Amino acid sequence: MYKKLISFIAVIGLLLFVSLYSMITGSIEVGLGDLITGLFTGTNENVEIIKDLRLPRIIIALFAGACLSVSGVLLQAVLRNPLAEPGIIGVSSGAGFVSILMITFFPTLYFYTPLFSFIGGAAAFLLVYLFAWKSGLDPLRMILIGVAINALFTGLSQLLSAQNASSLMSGISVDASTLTMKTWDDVGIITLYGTIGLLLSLLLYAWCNHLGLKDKTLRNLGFQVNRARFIISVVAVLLASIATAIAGMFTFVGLLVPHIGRVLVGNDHKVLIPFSALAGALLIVTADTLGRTIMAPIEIPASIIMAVIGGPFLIFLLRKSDRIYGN
Amino acid sequence: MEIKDITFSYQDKVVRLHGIETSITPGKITTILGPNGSGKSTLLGVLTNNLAPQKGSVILDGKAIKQYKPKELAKKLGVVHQQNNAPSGMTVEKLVYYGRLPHKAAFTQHGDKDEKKVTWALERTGLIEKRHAPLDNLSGGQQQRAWIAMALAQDTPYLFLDEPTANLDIFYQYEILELVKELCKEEGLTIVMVLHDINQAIQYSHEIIAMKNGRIISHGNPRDIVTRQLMQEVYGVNVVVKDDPALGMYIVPIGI
Repeated sequence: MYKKLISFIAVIGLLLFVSLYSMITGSIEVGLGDLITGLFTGTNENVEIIKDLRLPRIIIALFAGACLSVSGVLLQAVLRNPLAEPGIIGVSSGAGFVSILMITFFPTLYFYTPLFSFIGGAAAFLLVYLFAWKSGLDPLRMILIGVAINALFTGLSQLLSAQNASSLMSGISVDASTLTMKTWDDVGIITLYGTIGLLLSLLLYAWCNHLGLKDKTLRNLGFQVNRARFIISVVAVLLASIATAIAGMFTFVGLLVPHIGRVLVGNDHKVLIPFSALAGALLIVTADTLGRTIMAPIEIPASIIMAVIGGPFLIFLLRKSDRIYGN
Repeated sequence: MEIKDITFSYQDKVVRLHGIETSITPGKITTILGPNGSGKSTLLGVLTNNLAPQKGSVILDGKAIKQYKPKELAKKLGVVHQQNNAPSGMTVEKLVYYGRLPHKAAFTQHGDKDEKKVTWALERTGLIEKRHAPLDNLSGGQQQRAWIAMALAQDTPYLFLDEPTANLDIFYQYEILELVKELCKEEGLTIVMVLHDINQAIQYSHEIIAMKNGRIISHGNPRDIVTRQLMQEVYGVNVVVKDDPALGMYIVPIGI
């Protein structure tokens, strides 16, 4: 109990600290006081630039992290597979591919990117589910099929972008993610759909917990397993697609953050879901801040920083604790 | 419970149950016996609505089980499966509360009645001391009792147990069987179980259903149906059937 509380306080504290630090640091630097007065009065020129360029980027990083992490938690529950993650099983690359495809051929439909992204993500998930289903979901088979689907969609996306290496797909990058050139329109989209998805997943925590039991046990308790699975999957795909549509590809977050969460706050989804949302937001905003400051003016994509700090951290936590999902 | 002309096969189209026709007597313990692959677990799966038969139906209180709403059926029959698993760190009490799921509307909290039933189920299964212990810390016998407690909290007139004594030491096997006997006698539950041990089946059942190759070979009181011929036919094993005034009836396998 104590450990959970401390974990929450630590993550929230760090989240506030890193977000504020990120706002005042970079090629333009302002003091915290100036920033706050500037935001309200709109008279400080530097603060106006931060508001236009840096703030959207921070908000998007926060939401992308939260959405991808929670999507990972939900997919792991639905598929009963600790390795399930929107990046690994191809949901993100499916979302990315369909977005790029549509924008390449119908650039005027840019505003509908989240919708295309959702369709692509859902299609990829459905393919994984259908191919992996063989009178039950075999965890290993599912991951292998997910990896194959992911490779397919990543390949198709690269094919498209190689063919017309133009500025058409400004929003979506194929493999790495940089959070540059984000506007308040992007913020509007990700906060709207992201908030809806995150609230829905908080409501679904009990169902995610139920799925820790076997299907036949749940069926005999009168629980409609397939309905619950379908609804949770839709929310998971929504979260992953919206993050991909706005922030690009971040593999590994959906795997890393939930596992850190399980070690720190346990398997109960009532706490795991909100914790993962906060920790995911923290991870990506930290990665992005480091990415644009440590080698300035060169920017390192946030996804790269994240993998470099996240990987060792996960290994460290797993070595310290033998509590891995499902065992 | 009436079982009418059940025919069942998995996707491989091999017929596992051939026109099963029988009934389960309320308030009694019925044990399904038979060698591996005889269809006993499949039959249990059909009776508990986990497997949908291609033909025939199971009638419970005048209505086919597949016509029940999931929650309504879950208020009628509880099931303890053979291999169970729960997420790590789950406590006994939390698991037993799952038994209250069919009695609860979605997104609501537990009430007094749930609490009472859970406590009762824990008392019945002798786990009241262990209620806050994580399931992983319990012995095999205690874990099995925890799953039974979950089914008891479901508060159903029917209880199905698929090989409840599998993988347990002999002491725990009898502990489970004694519990089953008490539940039938004192709580009036109708119990249907699958067992491997013929003598345990004779000792603890009011009725035995003997199966082979997806067919019922014999169904009735153990004293009436367990014979040398039946054991030879069902298991292909030569047995001596003994009847001792003090020990009751038992069999001794002597060869094949």
